[in-house]
Amino acid sequence: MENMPPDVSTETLRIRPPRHRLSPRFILWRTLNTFFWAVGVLGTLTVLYAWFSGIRPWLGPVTLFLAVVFAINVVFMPTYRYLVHRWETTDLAVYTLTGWVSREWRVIPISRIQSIDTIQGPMEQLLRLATVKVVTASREGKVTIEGIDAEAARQAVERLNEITQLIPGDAT
Amino acid sequence: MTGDPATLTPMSEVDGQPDAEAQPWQHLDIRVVWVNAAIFLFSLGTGLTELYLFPNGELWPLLIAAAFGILDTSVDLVRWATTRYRITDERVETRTGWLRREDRSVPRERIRSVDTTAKLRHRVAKLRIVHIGAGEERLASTFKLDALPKDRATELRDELIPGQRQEAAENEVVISKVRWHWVFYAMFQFWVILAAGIFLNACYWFMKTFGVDLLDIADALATKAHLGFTWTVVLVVLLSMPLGGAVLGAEFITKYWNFELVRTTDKGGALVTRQGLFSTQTVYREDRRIRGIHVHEPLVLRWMRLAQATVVTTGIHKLRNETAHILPRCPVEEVHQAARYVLPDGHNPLEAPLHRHPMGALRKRLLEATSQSLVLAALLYWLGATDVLPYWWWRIPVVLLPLTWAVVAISYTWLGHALVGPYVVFRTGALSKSTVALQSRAIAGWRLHQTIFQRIGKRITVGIPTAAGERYYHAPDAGTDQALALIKGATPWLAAEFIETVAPDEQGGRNAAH
Repeated sequence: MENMPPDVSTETLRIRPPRHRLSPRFILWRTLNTFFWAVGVLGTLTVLYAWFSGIRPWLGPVTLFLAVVFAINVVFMPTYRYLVHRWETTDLAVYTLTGWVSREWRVIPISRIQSIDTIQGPMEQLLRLATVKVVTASREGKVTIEGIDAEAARQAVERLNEITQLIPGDAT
Repeated sequence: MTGDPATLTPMSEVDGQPDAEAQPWQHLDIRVVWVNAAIFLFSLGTGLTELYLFPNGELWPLLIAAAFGILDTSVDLVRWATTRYRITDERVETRTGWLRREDRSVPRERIRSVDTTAKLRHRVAKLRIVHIGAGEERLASTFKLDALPKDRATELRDELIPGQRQEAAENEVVISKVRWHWVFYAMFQFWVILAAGIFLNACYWFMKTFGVDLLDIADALATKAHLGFTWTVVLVVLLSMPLGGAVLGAEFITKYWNFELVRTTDKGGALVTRQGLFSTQTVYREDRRIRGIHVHEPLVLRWMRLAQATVVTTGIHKLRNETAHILPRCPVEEVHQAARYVLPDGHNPLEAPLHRHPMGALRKRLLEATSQSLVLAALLYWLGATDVLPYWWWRIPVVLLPLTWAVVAISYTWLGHALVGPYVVFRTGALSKSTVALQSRAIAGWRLHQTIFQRIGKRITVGIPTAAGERYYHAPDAGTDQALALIKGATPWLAAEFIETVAPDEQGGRNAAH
């Protein structure tokens, strides 16, 4: 339209996926994670079902529905996510792609980074995985990269810390 | 930034300087204690008279008020006795506290702002509360001197910030002044009933101290007039509406008395609002912190063309009563007029034509609204069949469907985005049209979201995280091409990191976003 630069409207643009995949162990980690959640939630609901007869008419269908959702989540979701998720850090930006049914791309310029965290839960430690969390002044501008190899995470964070020190923050 | 070393320098270091000793320590004005005490005695006096005249009244609200009054007055006296301040050639220093001593010292070149406020009691005694700020991003201002004589406050401001004189009218442009018919706009609100409720509640407790129970009286009146429960409720609501309107009107008048929005060249350029009847409030919003402007237009008030404007700015402290509202609710033309001065670079982003989002966005919204209504109806039908809810409730969402469609259609026509010079403009909303113009420099990254249906329809939701205002602004369901062109236009350097240009012959195929 009238206020677009002319060269942009004639060419076709597309989103380039980030360079790196997660660690393949992400699939195992996510499966176990989802499995434990399923056991917890469905177990609680089953106990409630057995205990109180009054709520059975509506609790039955709800439990069944959740069981199906969890089954799909345990069997398909981790692999699917592994195929979709990507991440990348460059000298200018941190860039991720996440999701499975929906997709989400997030880009943060290095100059806006406020803090960089590496998180390793007990299961992640066992599987030599790590989660990298990059925080900016906006809650929606946070990037979380889950399930990358612990060594790769360490290197990436080290590099990010180096660059962030070089680039003066304009995080106002 | 709370642990800033410069603000926590121990006093002993400063005392060693010969120049510091030359300056005497100064006190606050004792009148603040007398005024507070006088107010307390007055309210205690009325309370006692009241108790004498109506011995059957409740005693405890009065006792609590008296206890608070005594506490307040003594705290005030201690504060006056233990607070002193001085301004040396290099520093501003205060010593406060009795049981917990606190010494504070800030270099003079770090002082960024000297603002004054005044409550009614201060105005009566010609006093001002002086807030001295060192520009740090925290809730309380660095120094608060409560209170100094009015002249001394002005003197202090001129001494600390020589450039900032409020009476210097030649470097100020008045952008907007309150118009008195705006008071009616303030009354057309959903809160009318609530305002009436709060007011009536206050009346109830106030009369209770006289031993009068308003609820009993109302009950007796209703019984006497032989009104049923429904009619009583209807009557109370109808009577409350004008009352609530009056309360809101009075609130508007006290808040926006002598309101003016001014652009000043002081402090490197700032937007200033001055307002208030009993307590005047002056807020500086520095230009270097302003990132854009945000306008809300409620759907219900479209026929009055009313709008509410806020500036998108960083470092707003809600607890310091600094709001982003730069105008009371007023006609949208007035807002656009003001916006030209608020963002004075001549781009007028709020008035620019916007790119429409693809028709698919409308189809998706209609489908979503319909399916959600039907699912809700099915759920209610099921709950009705199992006797959890009345059986006819499932009809409500079905009957409301046409209304839902109308709202959806309106919200689609509002959808839009544009890149106007250095501004990104997003317009969204269903029940309230929300238009935001955000400077490109405020963009702290991009967040693109695409559901499976959006992928099929070649649409995408574009979001901008930012450090200012609501901290996240988004344009739902933009066309993928539109979205990528917008990103490339607004932040070419960042777009180069994740958006690539495709030669016409290799289009299609492996492209995830298309």
